[in-house]
Amino acid sequence: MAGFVPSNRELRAQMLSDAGLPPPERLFDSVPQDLRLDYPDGCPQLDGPLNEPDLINRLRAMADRNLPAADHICFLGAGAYDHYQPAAIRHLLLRQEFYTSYTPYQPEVSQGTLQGIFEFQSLVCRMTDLDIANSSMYDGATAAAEALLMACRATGRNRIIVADTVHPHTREVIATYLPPNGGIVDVLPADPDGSWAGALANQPPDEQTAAVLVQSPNFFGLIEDLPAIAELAHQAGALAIAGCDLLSLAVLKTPGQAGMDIAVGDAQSLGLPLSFGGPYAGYLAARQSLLRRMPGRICGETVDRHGRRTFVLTIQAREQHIRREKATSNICTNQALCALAVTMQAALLGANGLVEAAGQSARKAAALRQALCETGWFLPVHDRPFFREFAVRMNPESWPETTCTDLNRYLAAQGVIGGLDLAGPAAGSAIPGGWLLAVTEKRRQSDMDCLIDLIGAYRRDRGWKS
Amino acid sequence: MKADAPVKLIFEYEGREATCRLLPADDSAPMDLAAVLGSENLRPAPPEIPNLAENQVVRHYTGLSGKNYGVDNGPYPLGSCTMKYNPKVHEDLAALPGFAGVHPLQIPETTQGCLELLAELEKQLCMICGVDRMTFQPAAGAHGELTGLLLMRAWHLSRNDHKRRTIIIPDTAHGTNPASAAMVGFEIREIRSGPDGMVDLDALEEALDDETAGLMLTCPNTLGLFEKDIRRIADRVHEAGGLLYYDGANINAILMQARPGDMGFDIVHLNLHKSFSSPHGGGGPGAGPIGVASFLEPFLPVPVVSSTADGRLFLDEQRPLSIGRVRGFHASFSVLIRAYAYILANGTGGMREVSESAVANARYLQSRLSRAFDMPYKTPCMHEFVLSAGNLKPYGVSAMDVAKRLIDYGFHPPTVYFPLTVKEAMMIEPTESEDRESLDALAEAFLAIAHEAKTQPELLHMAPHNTPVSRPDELRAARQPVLRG
Repeated sequence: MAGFVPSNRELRAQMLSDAGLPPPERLFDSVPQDLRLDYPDGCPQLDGPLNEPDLINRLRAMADRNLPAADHICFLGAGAYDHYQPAAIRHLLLRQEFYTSYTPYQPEVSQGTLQGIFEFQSLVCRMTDLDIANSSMYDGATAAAEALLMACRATGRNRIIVADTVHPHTREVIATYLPPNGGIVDVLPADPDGSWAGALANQPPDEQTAAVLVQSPNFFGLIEDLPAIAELAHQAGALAIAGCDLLSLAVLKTPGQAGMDIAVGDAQSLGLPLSFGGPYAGYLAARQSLLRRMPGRICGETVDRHGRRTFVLTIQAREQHIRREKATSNICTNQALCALAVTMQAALLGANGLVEAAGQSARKAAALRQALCETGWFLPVHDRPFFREFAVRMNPESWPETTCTDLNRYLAAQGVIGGLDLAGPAAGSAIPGGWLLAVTEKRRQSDMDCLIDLIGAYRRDRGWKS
Repeated sequence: MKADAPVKLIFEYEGREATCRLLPADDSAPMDLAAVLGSENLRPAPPEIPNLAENQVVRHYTGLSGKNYGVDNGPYPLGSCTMKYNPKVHEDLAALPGFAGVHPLQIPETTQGCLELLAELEKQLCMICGVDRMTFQPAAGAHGELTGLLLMRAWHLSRNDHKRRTIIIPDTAHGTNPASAAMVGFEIREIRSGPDGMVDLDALEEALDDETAGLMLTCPNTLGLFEKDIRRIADRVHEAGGLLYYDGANINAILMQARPGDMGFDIVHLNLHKSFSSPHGGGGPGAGPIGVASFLEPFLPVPVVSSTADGRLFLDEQRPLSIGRVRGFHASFSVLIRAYAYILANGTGGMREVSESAVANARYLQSRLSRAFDMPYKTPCMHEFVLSAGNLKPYGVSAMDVAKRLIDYGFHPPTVYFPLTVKEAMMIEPTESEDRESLDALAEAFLAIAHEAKTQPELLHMAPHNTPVSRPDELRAARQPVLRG
């Protein structure tokens, strides 16, 4: 007998009786009788109880119905990437002192968590070249929305300009978060060549603009001209906000170097499993002057009574538990354990490994795009530098009545996870026949050859010319 | 290594020049990175992160973990946080490659197992809450609040009722309630609690008008008291045209004993990291799904799990009345796996035992401590209770001193200075995870501290004594911020 409740009815009755308290059956007397569930007859029947082996079997059976991308050949990205997580991370995260503890309100017994947060903040600052970072946000999409709210407060303005090449989920979250706060969102399409800096120059921000938000690498993997965008924003007195995948910054010009005021993004690519969409961790970094506008927890270094280095949650006068409705955000939970995993991944890879993982992803993606276009079955969509991810589209002459989803179904049956169908609902503004593929350091040349061979086989099965 | 030995920052170790051996070799065609990315787009120098050996990194984080107190160390009676035991098997289940390796945008033919788990968990949670549908989008409790309030707003606007601008919140509420309401553009009307610690019906009556969008309520409330007039409260809010939002922070007290939906709540949020045993992770990740009565279903965030005529599951994104999306992708899925496993392991009977034991433990502890501390509310508590250390004030001892001294006795402190309505508040929630022996040990420690407060107050002022660090200089942290290394 294990279970998770160390007492039983008899022990509880004894305990209550020893204290002179009414018996267990009267514990819920303060709940009006007509609201109490009548057990067992009038009580809904949950599944279970299951013993541990049966529980494992039940969930394993469910897991077995999936085709997990991470264990197969995966070319799917679009905001979540199949990078390698070293084994040591999971072993370290399973230390109960990390995973079972609460938000570090009692610093004397939480220095492990607090230093972990401080290191995450330091990592984000080192990756982005910005001055300050918070302890993490729910994910990249909510971090972007919170950054825009922060920009509205900081500037006293309420219009924001968002690039249409920002991840569609991020744009949707912004559309949910901003209007109830009086924010007005203008989505500005990129120029036909995929450049957003050019589009912004033609339709520049004005004195009502609180911020411009651009993502780089953008949803299609393209690298945006951040310095030009920052300059256009600053000319109008608006803040420049960049959405950047954290791993990409190992090799790409940083938001800080580009003159951006705030950087946000998802850290999933750096240490977190795909897990069907979460939990991941968002980050939010900014210039020093924006410190008191920041949402979320911030950890700082100080000393204890004996002058020893000590970490503590600080600058809390921004937060909900003190300011209530005047807080900079309602967020209290961050993604502490995910942020810890991210820092561990960076520590395990080191600068060399980070550059290697990011560099290999970029090079292998470039190689695959070239190989796909050389078949003639696919056409390029953009002609600009890209990182890890790129769009192609089906050559209409080669693909009668076929969608990328059809192709993805065929590939999945062969154990290959294809790219995102850009004509589908997850893609935002649709590109007919468009296919968004990501390549990480996990992919070998043989995986890419396999993809092209399978596409060839799909075509041969249909009697189409190769 | 001793737990109190300092551990330097991971960035302060001396690295060495070495190839990273955790990654595959690059077997693709050799290409110059500058040619691929554009030389103008390159980072001029790599980030300043040392290149360490795996064993150095492992020792670093093992050292850090030794400076934390976790649920497996002993009682963690943080009121309103429900620090219950986190079953070990859950970690294995969440890590199954068939779950952890699934990409969120795979075609549904390859994710039927994930979708089945979402659909099954939704069914179970609907039964537990007495609601009709759930969304798993919210990433945390406060995020659930935000989502629930967006639903309220959308519902009023859909009826062309544009003047519903006010959210009513009791003065005992969590700080996230007003902060979330403000993020949705609502005005907050705070109402005082009655002398019994519950919603004052007259104050509620005064606050209700044709601008009321709704009421946010925790039940049992943050004092651990079940709102005896909940039926009446729900009726009055509904009659005034408002909706009822259930802050699920305290649902551990009533699991399978009573249901928020039956009480009249229209929107219910759950903290799966509190009541459903998924670990807190040192402050996340959590999950804050919300359940709604059927009339609110059309407004739920996208996506929701639906099934085709032939029973195949898919994520439905095409919902014209939806408030939209509140996060990227679908859910904090691995948190949901743990909550689902917890429900399956317990079943209805097990869940009832959880709530019964949680309440029995709290009431026993309350009774043992009532002689040594002020007890501002005499009503029998549910799963938690609030004491005041006000009686120790004459000795110069505060609730914070008591909390810090508890650490020396080997326990995590309770929540202090909350709710705001009680001076020198200590909010104590033992949860069902404790046996009588540990409750007695905790009680003895509190009683010993109450005695020390009178005889050796200095001992409390200087506490804790045996931790890696003593009380931090918080003023210095805020005035001379050092926020990165």
